[in-house]
Amino acid sequence: MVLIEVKWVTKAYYTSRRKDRARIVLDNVSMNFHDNEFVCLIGPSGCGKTTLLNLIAGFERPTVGEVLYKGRKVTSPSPERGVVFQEYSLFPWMSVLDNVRFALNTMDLSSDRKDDIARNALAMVNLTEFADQRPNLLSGGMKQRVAVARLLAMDPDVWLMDEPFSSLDEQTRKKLDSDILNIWRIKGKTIVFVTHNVDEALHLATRIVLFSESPGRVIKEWKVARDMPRTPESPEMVALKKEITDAMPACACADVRPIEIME
Amino acid sequence: MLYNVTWLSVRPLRLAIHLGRTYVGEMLFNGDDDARIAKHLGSRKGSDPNILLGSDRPAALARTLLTFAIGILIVLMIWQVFAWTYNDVVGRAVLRFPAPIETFAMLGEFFFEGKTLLGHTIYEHIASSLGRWLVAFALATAVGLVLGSILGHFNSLFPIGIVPVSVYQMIPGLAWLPIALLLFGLGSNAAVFIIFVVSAMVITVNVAGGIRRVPPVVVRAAKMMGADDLTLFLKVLIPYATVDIVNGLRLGMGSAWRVLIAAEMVVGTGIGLGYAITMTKDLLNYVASFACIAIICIIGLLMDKVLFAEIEKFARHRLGMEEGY
Repeated sequence: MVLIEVKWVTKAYYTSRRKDRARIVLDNVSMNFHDNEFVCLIGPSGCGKTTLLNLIAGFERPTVGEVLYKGRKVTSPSPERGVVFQEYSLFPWMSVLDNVRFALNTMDLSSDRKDDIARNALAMVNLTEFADQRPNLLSGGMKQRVAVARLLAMDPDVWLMDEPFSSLDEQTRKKLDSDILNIWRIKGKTIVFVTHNVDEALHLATRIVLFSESPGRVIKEWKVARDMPRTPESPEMVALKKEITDAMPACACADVRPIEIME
Repeated sequence: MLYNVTWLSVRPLRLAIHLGRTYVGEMLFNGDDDARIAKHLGSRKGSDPNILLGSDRPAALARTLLTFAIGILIVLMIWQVFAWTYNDVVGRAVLRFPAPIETFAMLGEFFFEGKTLLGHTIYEHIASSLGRWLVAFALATAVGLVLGSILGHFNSLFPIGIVPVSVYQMIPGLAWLPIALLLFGLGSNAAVFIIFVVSAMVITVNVAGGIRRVPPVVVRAAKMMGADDLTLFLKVLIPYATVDIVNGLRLGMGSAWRVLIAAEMVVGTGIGLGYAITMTKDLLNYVASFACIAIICIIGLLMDKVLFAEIEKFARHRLGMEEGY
């Protein structure tokens, strides 16, 4: 079933204070996201991946075109489409538990029930013992796990993840990627995951969508079979990685002359 | 001879610098944190990385008091030197420049011997000024919080609303005098009005600024979780901006206190510290004027450095926004 439809979406922003110039970030992008898919959006930085995610979330509107969620036009954010942000987005004055409980603020539940749901969510990301702490005492990885727990509690149909673990160290990132993969397998939700890391995408996705450099267009996409072995050394993985890397647009910096060291 | 003089003066000076560095310096500049922790490393239990240090409160309090005392000492020294130069070195003036000792003696008479000033005890003057300040500041807080919240929250209103606020803020406190007199005539209400306008604008600007500085990602997170406008405002924007809001109140309080004294000096309130300063000046009782100035400083400092500093610390703590330890 098609859950999200992106139809001929173009997004442009002003690039000067005088508003006499604008720049196209997403250029006529059309794509669909299906139920229970794990889609990774990859591409060079500044190619509009985050913008597309913001449009799906409803934080911004397309300049031209439309985004449909379950057939209805997206005009504002909604708890049906949860977001894990690249930056830390916890409320510093609330305990970890209250941060997670906030995700239930629109739901008509008893206070005890909310507590249960929030504690369960924290248990799933192994943060039970930090429930009463403030976010400022948590490490970066733990903060992002709280952000994940928020969505676990809220239980949206769509998880929009904007390079959620890119500021974390390699080990932590891999661990959290595996956790997300497990959550996706258990919950069977639709995940749209932005990354610039091909390995991360190969590890997670059932579909990988490659964006061109700015202005962003979809260059190509690959399906990754669910039963495909996800070990990086497997021949299928190596082959797919080469294919994606070859298709990746050359970095804009390739045109620039190499740095010369002056004597 | 020359050699002797050098020897005499350099040795004690070096000693003083050495003692100053080791004792005063350590106390003033937070001490040596590593040295303090190193002393307790022995108490480590097994491989537990946590070390119990015991309370730093007494030492921290001593440091604060010492720092403050030195600062006050500098003020008194400048004052003393100035008074001494004016009275004894130049010494041509008819009137004496009140020295710290005379002023404090007068303060003692006011506070402990019940000496009256212009027919009122000093307590009555203080109570009258504080009362005026409290009424005006409470009104200004109410207006500033509401107006600042509206301007900060509604992006489309801000560019329009900030214009009148900036215009009013540019008008110096006493320049409101004609308007105050037109509206309220001479007397206490005119002073209250002046204090109110001045501090309300300061508070408005800071509250609006604080709300506008809430990071977009925090607002987006709240919206993504379904928070409606009211929830967003009450549960996210206001808490996030609390430190800025408290700071705005602090600045508003300071400007209210300063302009209060100035207003009392010109609108003829009949009682109050500012009124007492102008009257004693006209009566050539400069020592009493100085005593009133000292009281104003002390009350202002207490409100700013003790009351509001504590409120701000408390707010930071409650909001999980402490700046380091």
